[in-house]
Amino acid sequence: MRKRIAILLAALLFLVLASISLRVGAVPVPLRELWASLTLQDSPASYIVLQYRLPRVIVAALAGFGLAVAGVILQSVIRNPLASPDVIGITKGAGFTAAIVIFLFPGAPSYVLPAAAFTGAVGALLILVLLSRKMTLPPSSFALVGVAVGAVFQAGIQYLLVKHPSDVNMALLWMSGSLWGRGWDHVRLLLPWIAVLLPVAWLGYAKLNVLQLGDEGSAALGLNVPKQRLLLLLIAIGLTGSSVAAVGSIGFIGLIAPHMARLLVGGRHQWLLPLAALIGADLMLIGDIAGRVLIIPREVPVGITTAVIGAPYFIYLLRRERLKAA
Amino acid sequence: MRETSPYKPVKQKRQALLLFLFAFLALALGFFGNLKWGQAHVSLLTLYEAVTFQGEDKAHLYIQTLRLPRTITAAIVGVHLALAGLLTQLATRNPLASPHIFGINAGASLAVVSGLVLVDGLSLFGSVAFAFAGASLGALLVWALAGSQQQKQYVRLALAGIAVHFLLSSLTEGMIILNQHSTDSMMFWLVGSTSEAAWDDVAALLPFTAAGLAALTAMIPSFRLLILDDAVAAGLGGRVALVRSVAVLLVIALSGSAVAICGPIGFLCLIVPHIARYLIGEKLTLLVPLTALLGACLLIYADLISKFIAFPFESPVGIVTAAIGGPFFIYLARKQRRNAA
Repeated sequence: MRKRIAILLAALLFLVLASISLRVGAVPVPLRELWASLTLQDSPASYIVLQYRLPRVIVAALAGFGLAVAGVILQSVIRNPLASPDVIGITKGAGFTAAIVIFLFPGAPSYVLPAAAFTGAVGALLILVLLSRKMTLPPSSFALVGVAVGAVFQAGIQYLLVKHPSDVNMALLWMSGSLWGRGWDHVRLLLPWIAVLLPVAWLGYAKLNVLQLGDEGSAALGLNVPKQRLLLLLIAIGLTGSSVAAVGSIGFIGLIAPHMARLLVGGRHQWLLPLAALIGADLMLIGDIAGRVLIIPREVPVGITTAVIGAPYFIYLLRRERLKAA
Repeated sequence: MRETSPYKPVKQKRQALLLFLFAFLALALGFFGNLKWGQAHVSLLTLYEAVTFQGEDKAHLYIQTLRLPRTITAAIVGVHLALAGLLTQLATRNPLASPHIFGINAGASLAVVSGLVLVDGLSLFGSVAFAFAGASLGALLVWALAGSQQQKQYVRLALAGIAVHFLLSSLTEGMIILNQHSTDSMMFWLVGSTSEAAWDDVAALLPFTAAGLAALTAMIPSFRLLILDDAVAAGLGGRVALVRSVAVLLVIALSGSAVAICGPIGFLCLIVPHIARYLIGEKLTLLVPLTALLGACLLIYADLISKFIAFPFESPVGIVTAAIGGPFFIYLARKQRRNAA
């Protein structure tokens, strides 16, 4: 019962945040006009809402889903509470290859971008697997190696930015992630990936639950551990790669959304996955709304606000882990 | 930590002398290379005339007002960061520690950028003061996190430090947007670069270098305590807490002033002390000068590389140090496990 209420509340919060996100900004849209502008083409605010804010909210939600679910899968498969696409450098790898496509092949068709980001994410994970002795390192060493891999990819992104000078918003998009200028194009780019991978991930909940028992336990229950682990990792990487291709390497969502969800509904993945996805989208929207209303008409990229929310939570997490270990 | 230390014991005197000679040669070579090569072609004769202040040509002025101060700044900042790294590692007894990993650099960077945004026409010394405040903030945060630090918490503490670093540099990005700087100066304050250094900067740095080096030299006998166990050091009559605080203050002064001039150049402060320790051992009277020398060397060569990797554009030197330092950091993080096991 409690689980249902938690998911319901998160969904409700999502709707509230989405409508706030449609309303606020450089041009406020009153609540009364919001519905009109969504349904009627010729109402005064409809252009802003339909062409700018609605796609932006959708992209934010989809990317939040993707990153949070990828975080849940990574934490469960690697059995490492500190793992997440951004901590272990996967988002930076995806961002690096996406930046290569954007800056070096500006004429490439749009479907190339998520594929490139996916390749980069796979590359980063491969490097990580090789460096961490097939993921046998203790959790925090593993996370630290991932941080360093991310730093090297980050240097690569920065190199591309210097080599191809562009404006500040573009640069921030690829350094910390941003929803600036995201439109229907990006919805079309992101939607198929998320729409396919999210249900597939949810259908894998039983395997994720079994994997919590450890390798021997899972094998004894009849699970082909290496194969399932690889499949689940690929789903996580697909989600990460497509999200990064759309919004850049936004940090901390993939790390803290799963933890918040786990606090609320425990470790069963049939509940954990949807709740984490909703919380991820909620966090994205909160970050985006805060970023847009702090200094109108400029905007703080969502990657910065999520870091400001997420970094203290991460430190709290580390402290709690330490207390548990002691 | 000491009994499991992988570093070689103190080498023979002659070997140490050779090592220093070699480092000096490398430094001189790097210095020359940095003056000679860059966006504009400069002949050897012009270079000689410019350095001895004989000619007044455009090319001479170019060397005198751009390349020379830049190279000197790179060398000094290298010394600052390397020594700050060594002191951080001594004070926290954590081989993964460095002002960069612990968010001290990012704190200084954030404070300087805030200063530039909030105060109109901030002077150079003003920004150095802001950098100190920010570096202290970063150090305080880490100190609070390290409060109940036990042995073998190295990796965890480094992770916490990196989270602080991420947080502070995100705030810096936000501050930069407030001021709508161009991309160039944004990269400058996030990654660190020497490309805009002038004689003013050298003049602003030198007092801190002199004071820092003097204090460090005077304190070397006391810093030896930090290599020992706290209990042993206290048993020998040392005031460990006091010595440690002095070390932290020195770190703040050295890296704060470096960041105020050049932005937060990363990873250099982490790797140089390790290289120096590997080459010469733990003896501080040898380790400190070699660390300083190698720091200057590394940053000068990184600066030279940074001029060419995106030719004819300049790249921030911090990109180069991250590209070199990142893999080294991975190596260290993996080695921690072998030691613990």
